[in-house]
Amino acid sequence: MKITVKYFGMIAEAKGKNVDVFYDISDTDALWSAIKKDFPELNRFQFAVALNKKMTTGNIKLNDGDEIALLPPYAGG
Amino acid sequence: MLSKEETARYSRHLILPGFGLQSQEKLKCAKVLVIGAGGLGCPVLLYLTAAGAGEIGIIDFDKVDESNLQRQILFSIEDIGKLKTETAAARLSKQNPFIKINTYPFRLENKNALDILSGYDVIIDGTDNFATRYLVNDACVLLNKPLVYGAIYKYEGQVSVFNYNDNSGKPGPTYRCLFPAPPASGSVPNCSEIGVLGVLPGIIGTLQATEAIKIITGIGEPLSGKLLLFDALTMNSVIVETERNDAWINSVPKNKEEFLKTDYEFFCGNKHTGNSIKTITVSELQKIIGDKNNVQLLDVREPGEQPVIAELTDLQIPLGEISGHADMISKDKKVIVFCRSGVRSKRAIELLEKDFGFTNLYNMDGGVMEWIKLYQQT
Repeated sequence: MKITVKYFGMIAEAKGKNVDVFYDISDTDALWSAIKKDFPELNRFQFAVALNKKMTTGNIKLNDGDEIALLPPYAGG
Repeated sequence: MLSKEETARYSRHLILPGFGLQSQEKLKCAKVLVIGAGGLGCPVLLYLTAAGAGEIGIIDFDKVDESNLQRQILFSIEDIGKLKTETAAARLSKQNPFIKINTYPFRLENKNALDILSGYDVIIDGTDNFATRYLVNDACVLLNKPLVYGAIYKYEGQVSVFNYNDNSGKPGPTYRCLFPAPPASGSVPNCSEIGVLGVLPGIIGTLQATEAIKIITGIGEPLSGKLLLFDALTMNSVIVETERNDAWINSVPKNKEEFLKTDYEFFCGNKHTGNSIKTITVSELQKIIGDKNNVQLLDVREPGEQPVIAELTDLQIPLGEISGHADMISKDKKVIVFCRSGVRSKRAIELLEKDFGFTNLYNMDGGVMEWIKLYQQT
């Protein structure tokens, strides 16, 4: 079971890449734990979450092939 | 009704299938408010003026700075030091004398927001800070006005349309439905602190102008319920579907009285205990800089940011990563915090004092630029 994670803005910068792949993750809470194992800095960021290009909230069950995007707000104008 | 001159001027709109006289007349009757005449505001204003939006309001308290010219394409070298609103209005009136331009050369605040916004049909957010973004969003919710959102970060941008009523009158998502609360103060820097690709606000601003024209004329599908993400480095753009979140919209002030009482600066963490930040001048620093046992230097600029000063090289933590690495900062030594000009370092100190209880931090007055001026004159 494969989950693709896309990082945007300052999260991608802090992480050092735009895309990650995780395997055998049952839901988004488990995914956050998996990401934070190598990347505890995730805690510092506020972000909206999109599952397969649709914004979601709360803990969501994940399925094979799902794509999660972490979208921080930008201030600049 | 369009005049003869207007008919000639807008002929490419008038012959455009799906647009035509009806849309042009809707534009002529429209009142649009552009909040912020900066990187996003400039292209928005230029295109709405060219397109013939009948009445355009511009609100910005700021004056033109030399560093604006890299992206704020309404301004020229002779405008430096002049008010952005008045400079923009003069330039835009020359471009299109058939429209009316109103200027508001002051800061948008709770006490003036509802009065100003209520005179317009469409609001365009080109601000550069979260406090004003939440203020504008909430004012639009209270006044039931559509809000065209644009925001940028280095090479990336976001565009959406908030608080838009569809044909059945059903309201779309708001800014709070995407981001119910602002990020920690100082964790998301703005363009003046971290830089931005000059053409990026041009792209995002023209997308905002496009959305405004669509809302006014009713052509196409506005980006309501959708967030467009654009990355200039890859040219990737993605549209993410968004939904209205009534629980989060509930935190919008319920009425004018509540709105006036809301402290958006505080909400966004920009206000502190009231203790003033300690500062040190570069000449004072020069006297103690050799005392490594008692002095730590903290550079909060981005990695690779120039100029690198050998004497100032010690600990480097970019402002955006400061909270995650606060344990690396000494609590005993005198810690001198600096950046290019002293703005980011001030924010770093505010954040470290508030969240981690530091009391030994000093802001280096004028930053690296001041150091160079005094010690590395070339």
